[in-house]
Amino acid sequence: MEKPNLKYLEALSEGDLDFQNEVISILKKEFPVELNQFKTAVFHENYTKAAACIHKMKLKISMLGLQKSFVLASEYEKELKIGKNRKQQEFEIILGEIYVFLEKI
Amino acid sequence: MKTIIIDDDATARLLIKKMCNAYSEIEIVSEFSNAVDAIKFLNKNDIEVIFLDIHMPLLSGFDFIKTLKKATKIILTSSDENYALEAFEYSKVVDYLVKPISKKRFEKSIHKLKSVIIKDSLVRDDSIFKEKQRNELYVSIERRLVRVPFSEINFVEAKGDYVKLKTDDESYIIHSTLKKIEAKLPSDNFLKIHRSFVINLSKIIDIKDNSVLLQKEIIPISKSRQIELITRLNIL
Repeated sequence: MEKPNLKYLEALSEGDLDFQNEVISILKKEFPVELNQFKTAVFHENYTKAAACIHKMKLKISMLGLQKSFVLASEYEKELKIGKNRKQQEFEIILGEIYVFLEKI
Repeated sequence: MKTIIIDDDATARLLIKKMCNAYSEIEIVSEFSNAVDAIKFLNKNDIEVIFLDIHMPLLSGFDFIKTLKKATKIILTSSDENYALEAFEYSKVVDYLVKPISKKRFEKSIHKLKSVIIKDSLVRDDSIFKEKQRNELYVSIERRLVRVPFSEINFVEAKGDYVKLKTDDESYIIHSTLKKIEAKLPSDNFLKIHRSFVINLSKIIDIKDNSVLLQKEIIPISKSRQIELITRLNIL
Protein backbone atom coordinates (compact mmCIF):
# COMPACT_ATOMS: atom_id res chain seq x y z
CA MET A 1 0.00 0.00 0.00
CA GLU A 2 1.29 3.48 -0.87
CA LYS A 3 2.45 5.66 2.00
CA PRO A 4 1.91 9.40 2.50
CA ASN A 5 4.96 11.55 1.77
CA LEU A 6 5.98 15.19 1.48
CA LYS A 7 7.65 15.04 -1.94
CA TYR A 8 5.18 17.43 -3.58
CA LEU A 9 5.47 19.92 -0.75
CA GLU A 10 9.28 19.72 -0.72
CA ALA A 11 9.47 20.28 -4.48
CA LEU A 12 7.14 23.24 -4.25
CA SER A 13 8.82 24.88 -1.28
CA GLU A 14 12.37 24.69 -2.75
CA GLY A 15 13.90 24.63 0.70
CA ASP A 16 11.56 27.24 2.16
CA LEU A 17 11.09 25.56 5.53
CA ASP A 18 8.80 28.28 6.86
CA PHE A 19 6.42 27.61 3.98
CA GLN A 20 6.63 23.84 4.51
CA ASN A 21 5.89 24.24 8.21
CA GLU A 22 3.00 26.56 7.48
CA VAL A 23 1.39 24.03 5.12
CA ILE A 24 2.00 21.13 7.52
CA SER A 25 0.50 23.11 10.35
CA ILE A 26 -2.67 23.73 8.28
CA LEU A 27 -2.84 20.05 7.31
CA LYS A 28 -2.51 19.01 10.97
CA LYS A 29 -5.22 21.46 11.96
CA GLU A 30 -7.71 20.85 9.12
CA PHE A 31 -7.40 17.12 8.52
CA PRO A 32 -8.74 15.83 11.88
CA VAL A 33 -11.70 18.23 11.56
CA GLU A 34 -12.48 17.05 8.03
CA LEU A 35 -12.05 13.42 9.07
CA ASN A 36 -14.51 13.91 11.91
CA GLN A 37 -17.02 15.68 9.63
CA PHE A 38 -16.79 12.81 7.15
CA LYS A 39 -17.31 10.13 9.81
CA THR A 40 -20.29 11.99 11.27
CA ALA A 41 -21.87 12.43 7.83
CA VAL A 42 -21.44 8.72 7.00
CA PHE A 43 -22.76 7.69 10.44
CA HIS A 44 -25.91 9.74 9.81
CA GLU A 45 -26.07 8.39 6.26
CA ASN A 46 -25.84 11.93 4.93
CA TYR A 47 -24.02 10.82 1.81
CA THR A 48 -24.20 14.16 0.03
CA LYS A 49 -22.35 15.78 2.95
CA ALA A 50 -19.93 12.83 3.10
CA ALA A 51 -19.17 13.26 -0.62
CA ALA A 52 -18.50 16.98 -0.06
CA CYS A 53 -16.12 16.09 2.81
CA ILE A 54 -14.22 13.68 0.56
CA HIS A 55 -14.01 16.30 -2.15
CA LYS A 56 -12.34 18.67 0.27
CA MET A 57 -9.94 15.99 1.49
CA LYS A 58 -8.90 15.04 -2.04
CA LEU A 59 -6.35 17.85 -2.28
CA LYS A 60 -4.68 16.67 0.91
CA ILE A 61 -4.69 13.06 -0.31
CA SER A 62 -3.10 13.98 -3.64
CA MET A 63 -0.57 16.42 -2.22
CA LEU A 64 0.64 13.71 0.16
CA GLY A 65 1.55 11.66 -2.90
CA LEU A 66 -1.31 9.14 -2.56
CA GLN A 67 -2.24 8.81 -6.21
CA LYS A 68 -4.09 5.46 -6.01
CA SER A 69 -5.91 6.64 -2.91
CA PHE A 70 -6.92 9.79 -4.80
CA VAL A 71 -8.52 7.62 -7.49
CA LEU A 72 -10.33 5.61 -4.82
CA ALA A 73 -11.49 8.83 -3.13
CA SER A 74 -12.89 10.10 -6.44
CA GLU A 75 -14.74 6.84 -7.04
CA TYR A 76 -16.08 6.81 -3.49
CA GLU A 77 -17.19 10.44 -3.82
CA LYS A 78 -19.15 9.54 -6.98
CA GLU A 79 -20.63 6.48 -5.27
CA LEU A 80 -21.84 8.51 -2.29
CA LYS A 81 -23.44 11.06 -4.60
CA ILE A 82 -25.74 8.34 -5.91
CA GLY A 83 -26.52 7.14 -2.41
CA LYS A 84 -24.23 4.10 -2.24
CA ASN A 85 -21.66 3.43 0.44
CA ARG A 86 -19.55 0.43 -0.50
CA LYS A 87 -16.01 1.81 -0.29
CA GLN A 88 -16.19 3.21 3.26
CA GLN A 89 -13.92 0.65 4.89
CA GLU A 90 -11.29 0.84 2.17
CA PHE A 91 -11.34 4.65 2.29
CA GLU A 92 -11.12 4.82 6.04
CA ILE A 93 -7.87 2.83 5.96
CA ILE A 94 -6.38 5.61 3.80
CA LEU A 95 -7.65 8.27 6.17
CA GLY A 96 -6.09 6.35 9.06
CA GLU A 97 -2.73 6.27 7.28
CA ILE A 98 -2.87 10.04 6.72
CA TYR A 99 -3.90 10.69 10.31
CA VAL A 100 -0.95 8.68 11.68
CA PHE A 101 1.45 10.33 9.20
CA LEU A 102 0.36 13.83 10.19
CA GLU A 103 0.67 12.94 13.88
CA LYS A 104 4.27 11.87 13.34
CA ILE A 105 5.60 14.81 11.33
CA MET B 1 -1.79 42.05 -12.22
CA LYS B 2 -4.02 42.52 -9.22
CA THR B 3 -5.11 39.05 -8.21
CA ILE B 4 -7.34 37.34 -5.67
CA ILE B 5 -7.68 33.70 -4.65
CA ILE B 6 -11.06 32.16 -3.87
CA ASP B 7 -10.95 28.68 -2.33
CA ASP B 8 -12.62 27.26 0.75
CA ASP B 9 -9.49 25.20 1.44
CA ALA B 10 -6.77 27.10 3.32
CA THR B 11 -4.09 24.67 2.09
CA ALA B 12 -5.07 25.27 -1.53
CA ARG B 13 -4.92 29.05 -1.03
CA LEU B 14 -1.49 28.79 0.56
CA LEU B 15 -0.12 26.63 -2.27
CA ILE B 16 -1.39 29.01 -4.95
CA LYS B 17 0.00 32.00 -3.07
CA LYS B 18 3.38 30.30 -2.85
CA MET B 19 3.43 29.60 -6.58
CA CYS B 20 2.37 33.17 -7.38
CA ASN B 21 5.34 34.48 -5.38
CA ALA B 22 7.62 33.37 -8.21
CA TYR B 23 5.98 35.91 -10.55
CA SER B 24 6.61 39.55 -9.74
CA GLU B 25 3.82 40.66 -12.07
CA ILE B 26 1.21 38.89 -9.94
CA GLU B 27 0.12 40.81 -6.88
CA ILE B 28 -2.12 38.85 -4.52
CA VAL B 29 -4.28 41.56 -2.98
CA SER B 30 -6.67 39.34 -1.06
CA GLU B 31 -7.94 35.79 -0.56
CA PHE B 32 -11.38 34.44 0.27
CA SER B 33 -12.74 31.18 1.64
CA ASN B 34 -16.09 31.74 -0.08
CA ALA B 35 -17.37 33.41 -3.24
CA VAL B 36 -19.95 35.61 -1.50
CA ASP B 37 -17.26 37.59 0.36
CA ALA B 38 -15.31 37.84 -2.89
CA ILE B 39 -18.32 39.36 -4.69
CA LYS B 40 -18.57 42.06 -1.99
CA PHE B 41 -14.85 42.79 -2.42
CA LEU B 42 -15.11 42.93 -6.22
CA ASN B 43 -17.93 45.46 -6.02
CA LYS B 44 -15.44 47.92 -4.57
CA ASN B 45 -12.14 46.84 -6.13
CA ASP B 46 -10.80 46.32 -9.64
CA ILE B 47 -9.15 42.94 -10.01
CA GLU B 48 -7.54 41.54 -13.15
CA VAL B 49 -7.06 37.89 -12.23
CA ILE B 50 -8.93 35.41 -10.04
CA PHE B 51 -7.79 31.95 -9.01
CA LEU B 52 -11.14 30.32 -8.43
CA ASP B 53 -12.04 26.96 -6.95
CA ILE B 54 -15.09 25.30 -8.52
CA HIS B 55 -16.35 23.38 -5.51
CA MET B 56 -17.25 25.76 -2.73
CA PRO B 57 -20.02 26.05 -0.18
CA LEU B 58 -22.73 28.77 -0.59
CA LEU B 59 -21.87 29.56 -4.20
CA SER B 60 -19.96 27.37 -6.67
CA GLY B 61 -17.18 28.71 -8.86
CA PHE B 62 -19.40 28.52 -11.95
CA ASP B 63 -22.24 30.40 -10.24
CA PHE B 64 -19.70 33.00 -9.14
CA ILE B 65 -18.48 33.54 -12.73
CA LYS B 66 -22.06 34.32 -13.78
CA THR B 67 -22.13 37.23 -11.30
CA LEU B 68 -19.00 38.86 -12.76
CA LYS B 69 -19.61 41.98 -14.81
CA LYS B 70 -16.04 43.19 -15.34
CA ALA B 71 -13.56 41.64 -17.77
CA THR B 72 -11.65 39.69 -15.15
CA LYS B 73 -9.48 36.74 -16.17
CA ILE B 74 -10.13 33.52 -14.32
CA ILE B 75 -7.94 30.52 -13.68
CA LEU B 76 -10.14 27.74 -12.39
CA THR B 77 -8.81 25.22 -9.91
CA SER B 78 -10.36 21.89 -8.99
CA SER B 79 -9.52 18.45 -7.67
CA ASP B 80 -11.62 17.06 -10.52
CA GLU B 81 -10.74 16.90 -14.19
CA ASN B 82 -14.38 16.43 -15.09
CA TYR B 83 -15.35 20.10 -15.24
CA ALA B 84 -12.80 21.17 -17.86
CA LEU B 85 -15.28 21.15 -20.74
CA GLU B 86 -17.85 23.20 -18.85
CA ALA B 87 -15.11 25.55 -17.63
CA PHE B 88 -14.14 26.70 -21.10
CA GLU B 89 -17.72 27.59 -21.95
CA TYR B 90 -17.06 30.75 -19.93
CA SER B 91 -15.15 33.35 -21.92
CA LYS B 92 -13.47 34.72 -18.79
CA VAL B 93 -11.81 31.37 -18.06
CA VAL B 94 -8.21 31.37 -19.23
CA ASP B 95 -7.10 28.03 -17.81
CA TYR B 96 -8.19 25.05 -15.74
CA LEU B 97 -5.77 23.63 -13.20
CA VAL B 98 -6.21 20.27 -11.51
CA LYS B 99 -5.01 20.16 -7.90
CA PRO B 100 -2.43 19.56 -6.68
CA ILE B 101 -0.92 21.95 -9.20
CA SER B 102 2.65 21.30 -10.29
CA LYS B 103 5.04 24.21 -10.73
CA LYS B 104 5.49 23.38 -14.40
CA ARG B 105 1.75 23.40 -15.04
CA PHE B 106 1.37 26.62 -13.07
CA GLU B 107 4.11 28.26 -15.13
CA LYS B 108 2.27 27.31 -18.34
CA SER B 109 -0.89 28.78 -16.94
CA ILE B 110 0.74 32.10 -16.08
CA HIS B 111 2.30 32.20 -19.54
CA LYS B 112 -1.14 31.64 -21.07
CA LEU B 113 -2.64 34.31 -18.82
CA LYS B 114 -0.04 36.87 -19.88
CA SER B 115 -0.59 36.07 -23.57
CA VAL B 116 -4.35 36.49 -23.23
CA ILE B 117 -3.97 39.80 -21.39
CA ILE B 118 -1.52 41.14 -24.00
CA LYS B 119 -3.81 40.00 -26.83
CA ASP B 120 -6.80 41.65 -25.17
CA SER B 121 -4.95 44.93 -24.74
CA LEU B 122 -3.87 44.90 -28.41
CA VAL B 123 -7.47 44.31 -29.50
CA ARG B 124 -8.57 47.13 -27.18
CA ASP B 125 -5.91 49.54 -28.54
CA ASP B 126 -6.85 48.62 -32.10
CA SER B 127 -10.54 49.22 -31.51
CA ILE B 128 -9.79 52.59 -29.85
CA PHE B 129 -7.64 53.49 -32.87
CA LYS B 130 -10.38 52.43 -35.28
CA GLU B 131 -12.93 54.32 -33.22
CA LYS B 132 -10.77 57.46 -33.44
CA GLN B 133 -10.36 56.96 -37.16
CA ARG B 134 -14.11 56.79 -37.46
CA ASN B 135 -14.53 60.08 -35.62
CA GLU B 136 -12.27 62.19 -37.78
CA LEU B 137 -10.98 62.90 -41.21
CA TYR B 138 -7.51 64.01 -42.33
CA VAL B 139 -7.43 66.44 -45.24
CA SER B 140 -4.40 67.35 -47.30
CA ILE B 141 -3.90 71.13 -47.24
CA GLU B 142 -0.68 72.67 -48.60
CA ARG B 143 1.45 69.60 -47.88
CA ARG B 144 -0.04 69.25 -44.41
CA LEU B 145 -2.51 66.70 -43.15
CA VAL B 146 -5.07 68.59 -41.14
CA ARG B 147 -7.28 66.72 -38.69
CA VAL B 148 -10.96 67.57 -38.95
CA PRO B 149 -13.31 65.92 -36.44
CA PHE B 150 -16.60 64.90 -38.05
CA SER B 151 -18.48 66.80 -35.38
CA GLU B 152 -16.94 70.09 -36.59
CA ILE B 153 -17.91 69.69 -40.23
CA ASN B 154 -20.97 71.70 -41.26
CA PHE B 155 -21.14 70.68 -44.88
CA VAL B 156 -19.10 69.69 -47.91
CA GLU B 157 -19.67 71.37 -51.26
CA ALA B 158 -18.57 70.15 -54.69
CA LYS B 159 -16.66 72.74 -56.69
CA GLY B 160 -15.50 71.27 -59.99
CA ASP B 161 -12.35 69.20 -59.36
CA TYR B 162 -12.35 70.41 -55.77
CA VAL B 163 -14.57 70.29 -52.74
CA LYS B 164 -15.08 72.87 -50.05
CA LEU B 165 -15.18 71.45 -46.55
CA LYS B 166 -16.76 73.95 -44.17
CA THR B 167 -16.35 73.76 -40.41
CA ASP B 168 -17.46 76.27 -37.76
CA ASP B 169 -14.19 78.20 -38.03
CA GLU B 170 -12.47 77.05 -41.21
CA SER B 171 -13.11 76.50 -44.86
CA TYR B 172 -10.84 73.98 -46.62
CA ILE B 173 -10.55 73.64 -50.39
CA ILE B 174 -9.47 70.07 -51.17
CA HIS B 175 -8.61 68.38 -54.44
CA SER B 176 -11.15 65.57 -54.28
CA THR B 177 -14.69 64.63 -55.21
CA LEU B 178 -17.86 64.86 -53.19
CA LYS B 179 -18.42 61.15 -53.72
CA LYS B 180 -15.05 60.25 -52.17
CA ILE B 181 -15.58 62.45 -49.13
CA GLU B 182 -19.16 61.28 -48.69
CA ALA B 183 -17.85 57.71 -48.50
CA LYS B 184 -15.58 58.69 -45.60
CA LEU B 185 -18.31 60.37 -43.59
CA PRO B 186 -20.61 58.43 -41.23
CA SER B 187 -23.95 58.01 -43.02
CA ASP B 188 -25.94 58.31 -39.78
CA ASN B 189 -24.82 61.96 -39.37
CA PHE B 190 -24.22 63.10 -42.93
CA LEU B 191 -26.63 63.26 -45.84
CA LYS B 192 -26.35 64.35 -49.45
CA ILE B 193 -29.22 66.81 -49.91
CA HIS B 194 -28.17 68.16 -53.27
CA ARG B 195 -25.87 66.94 -56.04
CA SER B 196 -23.30 69.48 -54.79
CA PHE B 197 -23.85 69.30 -51.02
CA VAL B 198 -23.40 66.80 -48.21
CA ILE B 199 -24.48 68.23 -44.87
CA ASN B 200 -24.00 67.38 -41.22
CA LEU B 201 -27.57 66.78 -39.97
CA SER B 202 -26.67 67.77 -36.42
CA LYS B 203 -25.70 71.26 -37.63
CA ILE B 204 -29.08 72.15 -39.12
CA ILE B 205 -30.60 75.29 -37.62
CA ASP B 206 -33.78 75.26 -39.65
CA ILE B 207 -35.33 74.13 -42.91
CA LYS B 208 -37.43 76.42 -45.03
CA ASP B 209 -39.01 75.61 -48.38
CA ASN B 210 -36.21 74.09 -50.45
CA SER B 211 -33.25 75.09 -48.32
CA VAL B 212 -31.46 74.31 -45.09
CA LEU B 213 -29.82 76.83 -42.81
CA LEU B 214 -26.49 75.61 -41.44
CA GLN B 215 -24.69 78.17 -39.27
CA LYS B 216 -24.85 81.20 -41.56
CA GLU B 217 -25.04 79.28 -44.83
CA ILE B 218 -28.14 78.47 -46.80
CA ILE B 219 -27.87 75.14 -48.62
CA PRO B 220 -30.32 74.13 -51.36
CA ILE B 221 -32.24 70.86 -51.15
CA SER B 222 -32.86 68.88 -54.33
CA LYS B 223 -36.49 67.89 -54.85
CA SER B 224 -35.39 64.25 -55.15
CA ARG B 225 -33.65 64.43 -51.75
CA GLN B 226 -36.38 66.15 -49.76
CA ILE B 227 -38.23 63.02 -48.68
CA GLU B 228 -35.04 61.32 -47.48
CA LEU B 229 -34.09 64.40 -45.49
CA ILE B 230 -37.53 64.64 -43.88
CA THR B 231 -37.46 60.96 -42.90
CA ARG B 232 -34.10 61.45 -41.21
CA LEU B 233 -35.36 64.25 -38.97
CA ASN B 234 -36.93 63.76 -35.58
CA ILE B 235 -40.06 65.79 -36.25
CA LEU B 236 -42.53 66.50 -33.45
